[in-house]
Amino acid sequence: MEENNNNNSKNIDNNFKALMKSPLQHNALEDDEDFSPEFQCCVCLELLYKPVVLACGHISCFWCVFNAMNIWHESNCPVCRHPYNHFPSICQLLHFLLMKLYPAIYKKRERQVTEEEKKSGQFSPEVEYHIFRSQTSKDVDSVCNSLHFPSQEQTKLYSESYSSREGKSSSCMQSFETAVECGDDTTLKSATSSESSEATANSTIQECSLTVNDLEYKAHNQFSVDDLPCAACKRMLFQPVVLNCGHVYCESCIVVPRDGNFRCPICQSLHPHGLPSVCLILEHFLEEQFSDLYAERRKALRIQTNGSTQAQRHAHRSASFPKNVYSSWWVGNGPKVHVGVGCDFCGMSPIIGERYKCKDCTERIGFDLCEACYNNPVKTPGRFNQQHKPEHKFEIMQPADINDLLYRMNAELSDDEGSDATENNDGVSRTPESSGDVPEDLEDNTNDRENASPNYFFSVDASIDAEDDSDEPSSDFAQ
Amino acid sequence: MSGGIARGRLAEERKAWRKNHPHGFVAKPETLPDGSVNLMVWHCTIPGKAGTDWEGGFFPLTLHFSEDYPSKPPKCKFPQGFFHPNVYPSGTVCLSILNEDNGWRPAITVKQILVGIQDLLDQPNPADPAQTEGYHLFIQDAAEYKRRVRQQAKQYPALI
Repeated sequence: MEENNNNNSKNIDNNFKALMKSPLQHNALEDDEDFSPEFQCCVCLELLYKPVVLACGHISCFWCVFNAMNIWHESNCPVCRHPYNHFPSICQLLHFLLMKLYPAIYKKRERQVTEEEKKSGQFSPEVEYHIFRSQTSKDVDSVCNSLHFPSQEQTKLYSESYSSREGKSSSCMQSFETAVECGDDTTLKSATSSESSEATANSTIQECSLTVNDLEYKAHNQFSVDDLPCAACKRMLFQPVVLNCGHVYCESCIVVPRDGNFRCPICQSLHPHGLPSVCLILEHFLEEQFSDLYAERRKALRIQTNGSTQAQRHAHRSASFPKNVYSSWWVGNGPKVHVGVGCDFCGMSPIIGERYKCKDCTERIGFDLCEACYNNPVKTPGRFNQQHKPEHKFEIMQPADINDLLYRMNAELSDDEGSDATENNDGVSRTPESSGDVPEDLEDNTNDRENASPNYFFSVDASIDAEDDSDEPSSDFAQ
Repeated sequence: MSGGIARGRLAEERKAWRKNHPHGFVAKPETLPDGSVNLMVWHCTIPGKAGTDWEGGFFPLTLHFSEDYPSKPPKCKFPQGFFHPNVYPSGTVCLSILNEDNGWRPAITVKQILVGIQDLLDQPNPADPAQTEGYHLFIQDAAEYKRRVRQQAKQYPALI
């Protein structure tokens, strides 16, 4: 079945190139292994999935960033070690771009990750496609959507919207529609569709045998400038920066106020610590795909600004909390630091200051807010898809006691088999996160880590309970 | 992708290495007696750089990955007693990029680790000594240090 799909997709792909004369470079290859190395996650080395862009402009998968974060203090970018305190939200623009560029691989990644999430009982946020989309590309989105949540209704909706489009050859349109139908069938794994595609597999090109793959290529062909708009000026992005909330702007469209507290014009969420760096991977992509347009924007900007504001902007480059914020808490004279707990709205991790924990959220990972976010309640779901409701009640939590944490750490250290302990880094680096920060780590065959729970971030309580099975119980972590 | 991200990443590392790797280097996951592959331990060979006293040596190095890889660096070990100022008596390599709190980044690949260690061979870091013998000779007796390095290179000839 797989093989057939591939063969067919090659033929049809060529056919389509000829038919559609897409102005865009066709760089999604049939081969599963091939995607632009620019879009490779530096942590898992696979195609980025649910990409998160850090303040330094580097991209990694949602779970990869999460897993690489430090529970004790600020974290460092997995690429450049730039320190950050906030776990950014998924960048939807990139998410949909990747979905269109590499539909087959992206889908595969989705399956992979969903499976792991089911295993671990922790879920990454669902990305709602309609939030940021521009109108022009709406119909294309419905293709993507139907690919991922196949339903008859959506498919119909799509075909309709597609046939209402102008400017495409009719033959192309026809095959497109059949593609949608067949594609849907295949995803639903109906017996009839697999039979029919087997039957037609031998004949060279039969439009009926179009598979999900082929359908996805069409979705790819549709990606355009409209998919890469600045959330402020609505034009194509130029020198894109991605905020903590995941929204993308031209660097020139953002003016950081003097105090450095910048709010996203769309979602009103605070972007901490000044202007993020340009996301170079996205910039290169734009420059490559739309070189003329990009050069034009560059020229326009140069005339407009005369380079005067540039120096000022850079004064606001993203910085982090001073390092001693964390250490001062341990010696007893700083704001509270809630080890292993992150704010579900702004992503601050660990939470500094008061921690508000939702009493009504039942998810294992819990729902916590920092003081600022508690005072400015939002309606978004939690970072891990918690079904938090505005009417839920909160309680203030006290951070864990340092002695308790150290005790735990030591207990775990002694469990470790490490032979040359003297050569290891200082004790603090061998934190409980060593067993806890891998959410997918729930496989039974991971021997000594069976009891490890993935819940260190964003809610520690549950994980500590789980661990107490192995160690002697100490006073309740969260009290 | 069972057992967390570590194995998945290591499988990708293996793929990338097979596609392309620096000349003279070897990096292979361990094969267990029953024939299965253990991705968590890699047996590698680092060639001494041409034009240095290390030339001609093919130094065996073992990488031990933990389940927390790539959040945490692998432990890199030469044979016990390996002569080098920045190698502990146990054989563990002391290098900033392999230190979680210092220079390690999950983006560092196996290839970069091996090339980094190859560089370290001829450019020891006296600010961070890990064994007394290598360190003292390096600081105090350049001629003897050179002799020991060359002697060690002969101890590890090419395997084929």
